[in-house]
Amino acid sequence: MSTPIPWIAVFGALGALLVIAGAYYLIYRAHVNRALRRAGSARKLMAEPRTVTLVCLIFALVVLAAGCYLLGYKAAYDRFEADAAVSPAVEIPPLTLAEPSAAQALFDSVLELAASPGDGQSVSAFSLSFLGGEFSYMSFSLRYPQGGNSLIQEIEVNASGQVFTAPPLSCGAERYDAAVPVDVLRDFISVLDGYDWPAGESSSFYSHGLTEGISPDGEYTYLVVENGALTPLTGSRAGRFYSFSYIFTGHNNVIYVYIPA
Amino acid sequence: MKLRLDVSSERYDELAGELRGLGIEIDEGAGLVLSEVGRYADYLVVRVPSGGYARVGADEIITVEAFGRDIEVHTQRGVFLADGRLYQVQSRLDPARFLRVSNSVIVALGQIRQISPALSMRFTLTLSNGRRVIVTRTYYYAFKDALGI
Repeated sequence: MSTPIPWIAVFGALGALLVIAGAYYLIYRAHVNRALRRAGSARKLMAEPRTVTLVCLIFALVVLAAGCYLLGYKAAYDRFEADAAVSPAVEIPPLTLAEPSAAQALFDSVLELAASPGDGQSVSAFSLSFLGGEFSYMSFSLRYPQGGNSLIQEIEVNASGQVFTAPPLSCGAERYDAAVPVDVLRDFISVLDGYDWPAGESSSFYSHGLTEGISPDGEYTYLVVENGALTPLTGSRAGRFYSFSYIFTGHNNVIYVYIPA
Repeated sequence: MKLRLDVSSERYDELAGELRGLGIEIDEGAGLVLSEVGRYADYLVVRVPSGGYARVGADEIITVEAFGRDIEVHTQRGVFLADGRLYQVQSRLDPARFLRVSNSVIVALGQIRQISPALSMRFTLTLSNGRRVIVTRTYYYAFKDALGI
């Protein structure tokens, strides 16, 4: 059983303190006796041993505290690095896309990567803000922290020069309720370009997960994906659907999108 | 009337002669003292075991210590008793050569052989006769000032 490093530091600091205080005591004693033999000569003052001991003690405590902090920080960082090395986390570096037409391919590749670890076949609710204009790039960062079932998703979209960043989603149970399969998400993305989305001051998509049946209330717009395109829905529709809502605050309105499950 | 002379040896005989001429008896044990302004004693008058008084030179003195009402003068020749109070003895001794180190001890600086400092604001002095005395907290800084440490 090895001795913990902080204890070695504590005893090392105390040992150094004792050595310094002891050495200073001997020097001070020699100084005092030299002054006795040279009475009347020029005076040379030295700090008292107890003052030096006190200063050394304070210094040792400060150094000890700083050292233990750094050691603890290093140990924690090493542990984090070791855990990260064995975790199935997938981190996708930011990607840049010059051509909007290539966005779909990019998104597919991102989702394929994201779907690889564990139960990553589902991607949680997300926010897209690029619909007000053409986007020049999207970047995705999906992380599966080790030791938990949470999913952190960060999406950054540059739309017409304006960057929108969706907040990281720390997905608890309620977020998984809103998760959709990767294929559904891919279908959803593919139909977004074919529709004339109203622009608002702040526009976002939200996933609501799986729902049973559609009952339009006439107040909002309802769209359903049919034959690879968005079709307005006026009447009720039975079946199971993955639903998304598009909220644009500038018009205080909501558009619901349904994709058959 | 009896009088004790506490003057330099150069003037002692002259003054003693004049006082005797006036009918004043010179006695080392007298309660009245005729002293010289600005001068510190070259000796202390001590009692000897056989009775009477003797002089102990200031150079011989190692410590002067008070025990109750007694004053002990420690020298290499031995320990003698003296009259008076410790503060009176201290006032007669040269402060450049003698230092009060506690409420009951006066030390001759020239008789200190070693000083051992302590962390608790004290010094332990080892004297030429091997005895050890403590510089107490009350006289700690005065002692440091005297030695310039």
